[in-house]
Amino acid sequence: MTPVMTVDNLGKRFRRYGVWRPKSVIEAAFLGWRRREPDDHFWVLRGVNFEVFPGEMLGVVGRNGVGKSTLLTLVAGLMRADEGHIRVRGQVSALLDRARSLHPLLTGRENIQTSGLLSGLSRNQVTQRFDQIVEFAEIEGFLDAPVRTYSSGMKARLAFSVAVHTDPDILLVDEFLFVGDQFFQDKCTTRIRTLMQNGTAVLLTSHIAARISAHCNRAMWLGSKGIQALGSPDEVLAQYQAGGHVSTGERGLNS
Amino acid sequence: MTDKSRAAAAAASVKSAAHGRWRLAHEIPFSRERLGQARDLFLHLVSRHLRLLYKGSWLGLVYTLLNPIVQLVVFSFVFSRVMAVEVSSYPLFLCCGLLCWNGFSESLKMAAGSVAGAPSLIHQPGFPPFALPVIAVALGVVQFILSLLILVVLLIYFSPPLGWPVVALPLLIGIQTLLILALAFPLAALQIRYHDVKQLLVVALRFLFFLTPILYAVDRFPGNFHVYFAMNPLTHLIEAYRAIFMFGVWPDWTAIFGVAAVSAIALVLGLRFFESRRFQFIEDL
Repeated sequence: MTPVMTVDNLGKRFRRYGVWRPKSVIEAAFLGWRRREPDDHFWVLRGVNFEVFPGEMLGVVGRNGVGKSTLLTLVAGLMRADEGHIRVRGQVSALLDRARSLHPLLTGRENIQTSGLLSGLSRNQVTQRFDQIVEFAEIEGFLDAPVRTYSSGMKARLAFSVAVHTDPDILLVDEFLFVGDQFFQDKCTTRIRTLMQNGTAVLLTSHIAARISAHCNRAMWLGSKGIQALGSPDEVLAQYQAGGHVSTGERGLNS
Repeated sequence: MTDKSRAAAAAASVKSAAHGRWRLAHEIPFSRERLGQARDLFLHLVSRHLRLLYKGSWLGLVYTLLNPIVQLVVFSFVFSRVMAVEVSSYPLFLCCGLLCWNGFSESLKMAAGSVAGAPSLIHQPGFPPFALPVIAVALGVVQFILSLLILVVLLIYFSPPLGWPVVALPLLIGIQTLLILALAFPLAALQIRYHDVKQLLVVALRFLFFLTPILYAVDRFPGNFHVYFAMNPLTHLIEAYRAIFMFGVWPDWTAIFGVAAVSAIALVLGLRFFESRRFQFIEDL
């Protein structure tokens, strides 16, 4: 079985600047043109190694700030790793930030076209799948209204619907899978299962343990020192919870 | 790997075989098969930007023509009547310079804000950010070509001696586009880091407008000034437009190919600068 994605000794470093970093040319002219070095660096991910196989869903758990979202952003190719490599095969689709993937001034119809083309579909494929996408998102009556007039639930459903109708090889989901009401969530789960049967690998982040155990084939616990545990969801989540690293809401439910 | 995932993965191997090529995550996927898809996306984004620019109304295109017409009327009146500039068929002379200038400056202004104004696009995996300045410049060039309608009207009115040199127009437009693109990439990249690049650009363009022979001809100045005008690539472009549309002669090829060569080199450097900052965009936006 060949993986669809390999992560090899991955490290990402962020720079931290003080308040005196010029944000405009005018400021820079007053502060002097000399090159300003960042005040310090900090590593968010370091020495991370794992593989993702076609048709599986890998859930990433971890506390705020350990780099779950950074990991997805790196896999999406929006940032470049400072150490190591991420190799991928095929089309990568991402639901990273629901507010950012749609243009507020354009209509739902226009946004579906843009997102579809951006996800690697041809114009004909977008036309073919258009009705499916609209039906899935449940926005029939609002297709020609600008997206800024949509409720946040409608926006999330639309972004989600486009992403799951583009046959990605790798789907990245950042705390996103669980939008809308119970009925819509069930529909999403069914759709994701179909995609996975067709070979899509899903990389999902969540800090809520119950969601990982309900949906994923494998789980990964990401701590501040890299991967703490990687394996079957039940084992990994048990270790994660034993370490006292459960978000407070979930701990209340489980104890 | 658990049994559950192994079973799912086995069912799935058919699909992955079709996408066998490995790439680094930050590399833009590209192949010959994807060329048609890239064209679809490019055309869609150009029309999407047009719709955003004109707020969905095609009447907005009228404004593309209105602005140069007003400028043309005002400058023609001031300079041929009030200031009494001695140039024959001054409105036509002015039109050649003004349309070229508007095409240049409007494209650059759009391009400077192109990446900063499209967060929804640069957050999509696989979208190449360098497409954004290209789309902005394409839009500016389309508007420039539309604005040539005004020139056609003036050509009919003044009926200058036109001839074969008019066929050089597409080449001149091409070189002008090359020049604009060369400046568009660094401006778009810098706008992300420094928020006032666009404002400074507007000020700089205001200066350059009067330092470029749009309202006047270079030969109004003594010879030792000519070297300054020669350093401005727009001088050569505007003189070329005037050569083919006012006098029916071929443009000064040495100057024109000089502009093309300098623009091509600047384009390579500008694109490299842009690409070197590409991964900074997400962090700085």
